[in-house]
Amino acid sequence: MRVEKPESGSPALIAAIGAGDTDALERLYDVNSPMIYALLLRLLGNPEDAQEVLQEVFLQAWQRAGSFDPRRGNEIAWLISIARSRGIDRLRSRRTRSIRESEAGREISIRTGDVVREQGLDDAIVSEQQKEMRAALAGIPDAQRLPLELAYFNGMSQSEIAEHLGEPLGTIKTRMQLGMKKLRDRLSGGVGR
Amino acid sequence: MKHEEFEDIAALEAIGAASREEHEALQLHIEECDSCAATLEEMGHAAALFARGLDPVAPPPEVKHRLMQSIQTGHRRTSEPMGLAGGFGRWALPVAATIAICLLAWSQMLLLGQREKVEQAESRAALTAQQAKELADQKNNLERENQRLAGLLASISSASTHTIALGGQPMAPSASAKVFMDASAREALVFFHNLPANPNDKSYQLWIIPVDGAPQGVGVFDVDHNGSASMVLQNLPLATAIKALAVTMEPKGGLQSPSGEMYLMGEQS
Repeated sequence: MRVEKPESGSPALIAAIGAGDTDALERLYDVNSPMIYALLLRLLGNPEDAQEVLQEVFLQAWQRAGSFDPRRGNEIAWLISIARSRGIDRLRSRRTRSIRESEAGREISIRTGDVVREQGLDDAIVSEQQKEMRAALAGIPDAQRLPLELAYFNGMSQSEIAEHLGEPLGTIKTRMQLGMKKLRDRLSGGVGR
Repeated sequence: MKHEEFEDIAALEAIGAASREEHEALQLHIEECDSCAATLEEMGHAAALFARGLDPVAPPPEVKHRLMQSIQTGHRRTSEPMGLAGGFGRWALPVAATIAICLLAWSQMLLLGQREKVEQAESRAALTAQQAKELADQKNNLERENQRLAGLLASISSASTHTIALGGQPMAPSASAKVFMDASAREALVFFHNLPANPNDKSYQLWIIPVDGAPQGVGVFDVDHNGSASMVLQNLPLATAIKALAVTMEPKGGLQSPSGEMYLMGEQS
């Protein structure tokens, strides 16, 4: 009898993981780990930490797949949510402001894509879908996108962002809300679904 | 509070920037408001674009190996269904099946009724546990920072520490900096003064210029409204003698080699 494997990136894959299928977990890892690892590198700026948290993310996916509710979002958003939450936890627990400043030089070399080249990934891996997502992000004015990136990738609070950018708190809040609504509207227009 | 206001909070929550008060108010509200719960979900998808727009990076194969090993050894779950005991006679199976179906239906009804309450309780417990963890992390960070600063002060006051003064260049004649360097510990504490504010897309970068070889970036920094900043530098590249120190303005985050205007310069005496 031929057993059909669930499609990668489908709710059925998560259901299979929830039922204890390690092959399904491997498929989930193979498809999504490059994106999750890129996110963790961007958050943590340090391959060792990023690899450790990457393992934790998929371990958590394995342990909690049974409670995944596809009505509340797709599995990629679910994985990203776990990864960001764990990454920010790690970021906050390990760093102080002065260490952040002294490490910033090292972080940027990773953020600018050196790691991609070192790992030998081809530029062609940047898919059409990814280009669409970047276009959606590029459609947000810098004044709105920058505070959103500081919150998402640096775990900064509204007041920290306001202080960092030298803008009033109310201005930052409004810009972030406008930026997010624009992104959501782009999504409802078809990007990233 | 109106729906529009909760929509605004949902935008901040999705990006991880809602304040604790906003977070708690939103969580309470979406328990009873499907519309705002849907808005939060949409905003979550929008926030995920930041991750999905990044260049993918293949992790080293050993990460997957460790993950699968960890699952095979320490985290195996008991997902296999329990078998029926072998002592039942053939006649007992239909009865047992009927009882099992009734029990299953009854338990499902109970579960459905309790599920929402359990999820709410779990959500509150998770929030409290998260707050406790954050406080404990902050305490540990402060203790580590205290120890580190005590070590630095001891280092600065040691006999092996010397100072290097950096003077303002034509781009910022009144700027200055002082470097307290402990070469034996490869550490330095640096204070900058009167530098012009750097634009949001630029950073200042401090360079060590060796007697022979190319300048090496040792850290980037932004200045506050007074043009001041301080840095703690560790594991400095001090394999060769230092000729001078310099500060340039570079693209945000710094570069591998200097490209921008020089703001500060000081030679090793």
